[in-house]
Amino acid sequence: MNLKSQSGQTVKKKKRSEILVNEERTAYAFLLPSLIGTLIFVMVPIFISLILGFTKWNPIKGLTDIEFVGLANFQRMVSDERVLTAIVNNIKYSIFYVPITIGLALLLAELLNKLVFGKIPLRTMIFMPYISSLASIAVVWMLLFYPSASGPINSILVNVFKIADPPKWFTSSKYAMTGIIAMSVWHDMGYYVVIILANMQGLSQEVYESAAMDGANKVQTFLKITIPMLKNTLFFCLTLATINSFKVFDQVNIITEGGPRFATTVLVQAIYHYAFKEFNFSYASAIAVVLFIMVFTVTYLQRRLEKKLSV
Amino acid sequence: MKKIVLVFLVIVIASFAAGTVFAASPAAQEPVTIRYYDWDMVDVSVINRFMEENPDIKIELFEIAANSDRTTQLDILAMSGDIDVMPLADGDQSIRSEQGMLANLDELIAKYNIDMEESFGIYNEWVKSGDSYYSIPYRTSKTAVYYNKRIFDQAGVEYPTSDWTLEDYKAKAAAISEWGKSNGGVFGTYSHTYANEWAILPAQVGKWYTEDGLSNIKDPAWVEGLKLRKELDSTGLQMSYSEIKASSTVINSSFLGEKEGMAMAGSWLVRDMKKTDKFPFDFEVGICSLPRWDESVEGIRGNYSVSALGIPETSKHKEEAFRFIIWLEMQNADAIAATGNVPCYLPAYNDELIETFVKGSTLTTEQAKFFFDTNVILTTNKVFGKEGASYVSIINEEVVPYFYDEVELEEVLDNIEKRVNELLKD
Repeated sequence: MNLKSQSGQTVKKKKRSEILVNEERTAYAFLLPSLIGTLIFVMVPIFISLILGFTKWNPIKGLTDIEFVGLANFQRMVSDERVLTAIVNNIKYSIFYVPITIGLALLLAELLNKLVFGKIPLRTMIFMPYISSLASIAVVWMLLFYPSASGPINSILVNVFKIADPPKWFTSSKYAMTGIIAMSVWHDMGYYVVIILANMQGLSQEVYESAAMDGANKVQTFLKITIPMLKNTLFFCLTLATINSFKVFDQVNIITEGGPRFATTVLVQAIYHYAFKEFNFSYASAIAVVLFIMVFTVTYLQRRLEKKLSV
Repeated sequence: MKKIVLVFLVIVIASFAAGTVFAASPAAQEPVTIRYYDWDMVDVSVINRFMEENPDIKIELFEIAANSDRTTQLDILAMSGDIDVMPLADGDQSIRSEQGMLANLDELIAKYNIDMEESFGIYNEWVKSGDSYYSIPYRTSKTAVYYNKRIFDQAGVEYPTSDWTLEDYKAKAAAISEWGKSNGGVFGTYSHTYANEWAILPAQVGKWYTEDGLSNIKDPAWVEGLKLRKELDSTGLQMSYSEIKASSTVINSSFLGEKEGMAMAGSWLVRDMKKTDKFPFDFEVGICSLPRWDESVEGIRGNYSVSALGIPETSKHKEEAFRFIIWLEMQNADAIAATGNVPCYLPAYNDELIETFVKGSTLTTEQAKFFFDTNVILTTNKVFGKEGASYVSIINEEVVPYFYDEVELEEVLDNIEKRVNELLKD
């Protein structure tokens, strides 16, 4: 063994690990402001909210008025029609919103990927709803889906499809949620199209060429090559869409305010109602805990499924 | 060297001490800043005059939008201590005083010798919780029937009179609607979708609570009131509840845009009539008292609500805020009237005040006297009593499917009674 070269290699290794440590420290230093911000403005409020869910507290009276009540807030939820309906509405919303949004986004991305001309303007048009104000979109959709026969959509249903009694859309318990889901899908789809399309464009073309040589048609190529190769991206989009679906609030609050009665009430709407209409911040925090558990559970199950399918 | 340092230290300490004394002296003290938020401000010259007369107080004005989010914004400001004078509209004050958001003003009222009864009369009911005052009545909105004289003339319908009844009201609405079918789809009347708006007329006879203190929603007056709203919608005499919600229609633009012959609206409509750039109109407007619910109801009837100014419990300058509120209300009723609002300060009521109120609105002083007439028998569609605010909120949630033709009235009444009684028993 050459001692001289061994010690030289050791010195080189030491220098390399020092460099790595320095680089790590630099990376953390750059991340620190963001981490501190996340800790103060996200983690701490979440933690406080979790604790508040087990208390009775009037924020007007300050911190001295906090009273620990155990599971009383959660027990109240069991018989609270508003909260129970909100949970069911949230689940219904997610069941329809997530697959429709991701499914349509995938199809549109595939179509855009195949286009030779007009790709950029079409992509811009598809993305534009996402960057538009939800409040403005909500107002336009409310007018489009005006409940009487004179509304734009209903006049088509009456005059073209000869439906005598068209739905009252947002002023109907039966159809209000359908309208909100449709609006949300239309608004959010563009975001997922852009993500999926970007990943689609990075896929290896050799695989497609091989498939073509083996005689695969377009549908087979799409189902057996494109979708499996986009698995990670699709799971990411599914997780994101699911989390966003549980957080839905703006469009519900603007269009229906959770009504008629509780037909479109969702959990965030319920939290808003109890916090800012009834000043019951503790109960609202308890509902937030339930929402957190629901989102966490669904996200965890999705991750498990993704890992299983990756094996 | 040590001597120089010692001398320097003595000079520095002496200057700090002198500065502290100087800062503590009243002449050099900074004025206390009062933050006042509102959606309907008096002219800023009024505020400037207050600051001239009270150099120890500085008023910072913040205008907020008069939309449905304003109460949430104000509540957040109040909880965080960022507001000293807080406007509270149409009964919002009751839940906030119950929750401890508002400061008890009894001591300050006694200190400044304010005779609340003489100053504000019946409006005091809106600012008390128990026997204590938690805000000061500021503006009142009196509901009247506004009618479009041009439409009435063209439809050949006689103007309403102060002794008219509900049957007269429905008949006139029907006649105008019939004429309106071939004249631009004009409706006979308009009633908005505000909480408990349907209860304006039945409030003349209805009671919200039973003698046991439980919900009295099945009082025949309320039952008939709900049926009345439905009837006016379904017979096409007014724009339906669902259409108003879907199109976000508002009374001012609808009535002043000649979409209906009559509209039941508060005196705040006079304020909007002055804003001819926003709501241009070229017809003559008539004012009439509310129709009597039935022949058993006597006198000239009106409906009212009261907005107040309160001081959040978190305010660090309660006395200064109180001084501002009292000065504004008791010495500037004309400035409040100039904005097209009816001030609550009763001793200020005179013809000159009424003239200021209507100036720029096309109404005459004679017409506007209705809003200041203390002989008008006033009732309110708001619920006063235990859990009043929640009672109204529950009613507002439960009646919507009924107005949307989705549920029967019995189910609605049962739901309201059950939910309200659960609350009251808690």
